Amino acid sequence: MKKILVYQDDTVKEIYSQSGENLLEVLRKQGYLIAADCGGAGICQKCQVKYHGKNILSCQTTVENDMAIELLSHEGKGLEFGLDNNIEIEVQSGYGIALDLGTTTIAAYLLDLETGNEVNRYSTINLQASYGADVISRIKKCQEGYLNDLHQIIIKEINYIITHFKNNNNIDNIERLLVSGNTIMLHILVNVDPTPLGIAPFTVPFLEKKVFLGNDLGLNVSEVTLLPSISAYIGSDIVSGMLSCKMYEDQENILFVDIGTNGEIILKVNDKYYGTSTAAGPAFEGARIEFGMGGVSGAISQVSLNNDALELRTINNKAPIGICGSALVDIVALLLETKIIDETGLFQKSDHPLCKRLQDDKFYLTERIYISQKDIREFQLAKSAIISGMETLLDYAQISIKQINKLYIAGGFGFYIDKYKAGSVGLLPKEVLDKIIIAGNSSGIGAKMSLLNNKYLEICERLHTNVEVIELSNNQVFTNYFIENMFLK
Amino acid sequence: MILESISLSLQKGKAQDVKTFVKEALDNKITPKEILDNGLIQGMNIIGEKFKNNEVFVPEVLIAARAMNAGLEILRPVLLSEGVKPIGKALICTVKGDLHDIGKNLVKIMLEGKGIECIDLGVDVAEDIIIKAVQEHNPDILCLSALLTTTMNYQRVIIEALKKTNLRNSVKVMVGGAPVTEKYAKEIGADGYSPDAASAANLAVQLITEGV
Repeated sequence: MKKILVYQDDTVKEIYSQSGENLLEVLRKQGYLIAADCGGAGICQKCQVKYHGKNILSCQTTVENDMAIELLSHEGKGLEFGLDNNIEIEVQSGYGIALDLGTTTIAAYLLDLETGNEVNRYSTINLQASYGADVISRIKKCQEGYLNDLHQIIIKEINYIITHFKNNNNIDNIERLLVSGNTIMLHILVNVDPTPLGIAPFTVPFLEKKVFLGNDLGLNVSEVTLLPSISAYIGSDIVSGMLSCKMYEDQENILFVDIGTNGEIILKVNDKYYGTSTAAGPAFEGARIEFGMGGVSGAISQVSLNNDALELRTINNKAPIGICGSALVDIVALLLETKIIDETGLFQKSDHPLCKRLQDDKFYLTERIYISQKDIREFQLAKSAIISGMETLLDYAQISIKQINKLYIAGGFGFYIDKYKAGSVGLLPKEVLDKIIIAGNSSGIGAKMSLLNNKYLEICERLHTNVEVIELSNNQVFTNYFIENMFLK
Repeated sequence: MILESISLSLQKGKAQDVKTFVKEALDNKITPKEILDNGLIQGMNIIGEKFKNNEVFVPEVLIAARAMNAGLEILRPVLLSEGVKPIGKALICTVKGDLHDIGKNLVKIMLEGKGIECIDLGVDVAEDIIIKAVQEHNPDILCLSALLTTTMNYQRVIIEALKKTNLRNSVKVMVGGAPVTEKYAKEIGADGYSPDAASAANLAVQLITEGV
């Protein structure tokens, strides 16, 4: 047995492992949340811990001797926000939880089922994250036999949330739990192997709405409902989003985009629905960007120019520790505006005073935090995927962007994004910037609606089979747009 | 110098200029092999290096490739008649279960940019198709692309299939794709791994010349 001293902030804990065990595995088993976006392949550099004053990759380290390590700290709280709209309530007794089960963040809303009022809300990081940041890595882990581990993690986490709500609000029982999430998250939640979703032709074990007794899943509620999904990569969170903006009763031409881990897009034209998934997410959630991170405390969320000086805003106004998706858009827009990068995305010498922050192909936001040429390339790939996904759907439906009446932006990203900057770098279509509506946590809102009234649940059931799914990989139309849209314009 | 002009216009993606300069070079009695090596391939090499360093990006590589193909259109019949052969032959595909092709297409461009003949088997390619193709075309290199962690295991499956059919020693296997690493490549017994299309082309040339 080897002893490992784990220093974290002001605390130190003694843990043990067998000789020869993988350090990341050991830490995970002990409940430490260590980011491993690439799933432990040694690529993303996010699993670093300090050992003898040097940063080492825990996923590539084997425990051979007693050791002392220091964890680099990241606060794990997700963000709480959302828009409310007028909904009809079907009176029920007791309490229910509407749960938005995200790949990265979980948002839970405790509702009084009689009045429809939100009593409490809570959000936190999905602890499955230490098995990989994105859905593909989680599917991979299931392929490798970790389905039950991932399942247990989320059941435990949800039960923790249930207990938290009971304690915080002095209630004894919570009757219902309704879950909205992407297809992979739902499969793991009910311990069904999502492996077939990771390989073409991406067959899905289930897409329909599911209802379980809480006991059957090991959850401390009476009944659990899972919203229905559209396809392997367009999940119930998107159906929930479509519900939340009442797309089903809107006659106009609508685009709905969730700029998150999977970059899902829905187009509604003449009562027909089209959908696709662009998998552009990783850059916008931090993975593959050197100083990239999700929307956590200390993440730089906005960057602007004030009289030639750089102004940074961080989440919760904490000291900056990294860059999140919305700031990435701001930075690229700013670099383009000040001509520090050209339209092809290449760094260049510019007359602008800010150019002095450009050293060695790195643009420094603070003394330590920078954006590199490689980061800009990752951004170009991600933003091109999103806009090209939109253009492919429009092309397929034979409608021009100018005919779109509403563009909903869902996901946490939408809350901080500057739409004009997004337009200037070509992430969002310039023609409809003034038609943008920030949908907030549309998945959570739709989950609340479905929990409070069965008629909304029924609408979800009608919607989920009604969307024509367009596959983008190996699609020549998409590929052509994808190449063209890599330019920043 | 005319070969320099061919290289520069190729790098800028100016297909028409490349065609004009190639014709001019032929008229000036420069050998087609020299035009290929010191004009076209030279230009693609520079693009390849710049792509590796993120100085140019995917669109620039694609338009340079388009320009190269425009030049090759003129050059090919002459190369054929003079018996100039490609330096080697490669088979490339994206493995079964995976539909991604952009990366594979970039690698193909860079291999052709080195004078390697490239046969593209497409995406979602199963082991029996690959085995048949190896038997039919007898390539120097087999390039396997996998873009998802969930499909990369098929690269291992192919290598095993080559062993079973006694073809393993007849071809060098290169693997690549976003989740693939050097370590993984060694683990599954591949002959080479490269992190990007330009490095892949350099490695392919190396493996071909080693194998001679």
